[in-house]
Amino acid sequence: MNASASSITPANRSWQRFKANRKALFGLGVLILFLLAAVGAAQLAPYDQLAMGASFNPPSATHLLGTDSLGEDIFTNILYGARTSLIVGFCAVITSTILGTLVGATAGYFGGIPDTLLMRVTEMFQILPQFFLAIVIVALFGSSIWNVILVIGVLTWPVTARLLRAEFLTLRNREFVDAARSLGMSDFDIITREILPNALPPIIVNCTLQISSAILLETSLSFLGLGDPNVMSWGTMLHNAQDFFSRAWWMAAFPGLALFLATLSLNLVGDGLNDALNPKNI
Amino acid sequence: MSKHLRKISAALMIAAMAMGAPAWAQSDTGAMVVGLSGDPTLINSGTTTEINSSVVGAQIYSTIIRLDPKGEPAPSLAKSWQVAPDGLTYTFKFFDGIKWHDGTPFTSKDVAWSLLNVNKLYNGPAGGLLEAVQAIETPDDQTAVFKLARPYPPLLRGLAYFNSSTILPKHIFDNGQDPRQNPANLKPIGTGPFMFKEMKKGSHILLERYPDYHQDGPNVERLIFQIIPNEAARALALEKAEIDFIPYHVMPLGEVERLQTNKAITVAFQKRVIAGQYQAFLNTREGPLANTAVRQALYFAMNRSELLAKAGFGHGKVSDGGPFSSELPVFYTADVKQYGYDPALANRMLDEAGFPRDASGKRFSLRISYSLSEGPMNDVSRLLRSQFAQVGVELVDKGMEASAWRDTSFVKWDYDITMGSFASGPDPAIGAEAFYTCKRIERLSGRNASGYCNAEVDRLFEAGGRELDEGKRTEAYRKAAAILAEDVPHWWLWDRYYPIAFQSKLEGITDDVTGYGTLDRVRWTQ
Repeated sequence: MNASASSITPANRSWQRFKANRKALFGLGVLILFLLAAVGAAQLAPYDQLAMGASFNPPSATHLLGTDSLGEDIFTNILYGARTSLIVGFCAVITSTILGTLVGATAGYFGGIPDTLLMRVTEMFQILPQFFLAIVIVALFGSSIWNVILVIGVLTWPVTARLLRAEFLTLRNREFVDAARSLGMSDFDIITREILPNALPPIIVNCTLQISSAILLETSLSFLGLGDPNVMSWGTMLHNAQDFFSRAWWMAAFPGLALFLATLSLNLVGDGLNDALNPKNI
Repeated sequence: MSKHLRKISAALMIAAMAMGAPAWAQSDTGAMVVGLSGDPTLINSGTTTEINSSVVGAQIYSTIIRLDPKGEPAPSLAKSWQVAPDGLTYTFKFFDGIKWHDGTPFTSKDVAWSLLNVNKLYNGPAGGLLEAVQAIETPDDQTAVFKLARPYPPLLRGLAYFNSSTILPKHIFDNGQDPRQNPANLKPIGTGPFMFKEMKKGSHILLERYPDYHQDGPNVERLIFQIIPNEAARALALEKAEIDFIPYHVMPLGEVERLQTNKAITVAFQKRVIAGQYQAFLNTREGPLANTAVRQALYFAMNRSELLAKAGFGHGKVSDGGPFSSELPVFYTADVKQYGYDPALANRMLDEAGFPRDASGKRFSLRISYSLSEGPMNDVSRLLRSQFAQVGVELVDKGMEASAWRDTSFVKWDYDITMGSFASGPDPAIGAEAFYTCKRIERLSGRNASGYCNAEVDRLFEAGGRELDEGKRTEAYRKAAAILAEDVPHWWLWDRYYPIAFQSKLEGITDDVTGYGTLDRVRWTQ
């Protein structure tokens, strides 16, 4: 084997395919910008998070995107809002993926009674109206950012669980799994070392898409005034803007634009990953 | 949760409004439409202090006396009255021939029974107002004699407020049932200028002119209360002449400026002798706020002009009379310790009080609670977070739904700072006293939740409440104000002005000084 041959790993091939997709690359670029904004909010923001200037300043050189009704700089708030949105998005999806993987892998691998039981529970979660349940839970247990993350995570795991169960159902009877079994591997090892790595691609794609829906859910909650009042969020900004729509369009327009770009980029990346990781596309 | 439901109903309401205006909306001079933000839970101010209930109830029921535009007592059910020189006996003579809307004659027994058996027991302010009243005698059907245990000068004016002193029909409420459960609470029968016709939840309340009303008026055939939960939609409805009047408690403050430019609409400021102040109760029992110097320092760290301008849209005056609003006649004085914006002084005082900044520049952290439905409080909290950060104090926002707020702040006392709008009047003996005296440290809404207790302040309020001579009363209350401004158990943010808006062709709305008075004299001009 020479060097060039060894460098064509599956991951590498996927990256080549991803790179060829211009929409996906655009999405990735925007996403990286948002990540930088979130990480470097404190350094990048032109004003302190708690600084208040004159109210209702239109966009100008001093206030790039204008100021809101209390005189907070919109650009600064959008940067800090990006941090909140991404924290919520990633943490909620990690929560839901862990839950979904546990349930989906168990149900798909063992089948039978565990499968029936777990899938009925999953269906129960699926028929609940997610958004209204989120509202009730946040209203009852408080709206700290960690509560919001937990709520979103707990409400969105069934999709992952079903997806993973389906993958497990098809993979568990493949020859390489039979081989592992006949070699005496334990169930745990077979699940984690044999099946799971092969079931990952759809999960990764699903994660990307779920991050954007988690961000949207958090924004909707904040828009209704149910967000964490101690952190800035795009939804809170939109909530504050609604009384002043005719007076200060920039209060609603820019957070809305940020939200639009963030969810769009995540969806483009998700689509790109889907194409790149799909073995049928080779 | 209820906040959310309100938002949804607001959205539905906008949709409903877009589909078509109600039939009575088209500037019908035989009708007058008043905008409200939500349904009154019941129409009976004898058992509740909800303003929506008072605003509607004031048109259906009556009080013994009313206040004229100057705030002086004027006849309502009573045509005349006398106060004995010792201040212990009040004699009221009622008009002849007053009838309840169901035809039953009104008598002095209605007054005596209602005030002592309903209002005093079930309405908070009435409980305080009637505390000194030992008995109400009814020598004949047209006379009621109030016997007091001690002089209580605020009584007479207090009887003019629907919020505490609505007179209910004995023949309907005296049936052994809990008056809060009486079906008449949603189908009221009164002696006022309008008769109850129908109530549709979430939509409207329709009242019709009572032809046998014993005073002049009313001058419109129908009075309609239209429920419009969304603030912007309410202002828009006024501009489109779908409604004619927005009372003070549901006025969208952010829309005032825009409505002022509309010539067909008059924006006025409701004189309100209850003299409301936005203020923050401070929990003086524990933590840094137990220290008077800290309370003073943070009061200096507060830029109240900014709070008023940005959160209150300038409708008010930065409080400079300590516990008494500048709107409170006679007793208000600015001759108390003043707290201008001075972060440098605040920083110095906090250092001296033993709260140095840590490595990150922070001294300590405090929770700030308020009700999310109380207009400007969310913005005040955001502004204070920014202002206090400059002196190294972190604020943790604890905005919550109204009933949860009342419970945590006034019943559980689980707060550091809790803000809202509170009345310093109409007389300090009714308003301010409840917040600052030791005996009012009770686990009840609107009582002394700060736990502040000062024997000298108690003595002064006690003297002020009993004294008949106005000069001496004023002196006692001003002394109390000076001590309170020094001790700052509260931060008094700003004295509220109450904008209202109505169609310019309506006349007589501003004559009412209570904010929820009878609209019998209001008329359309051409």
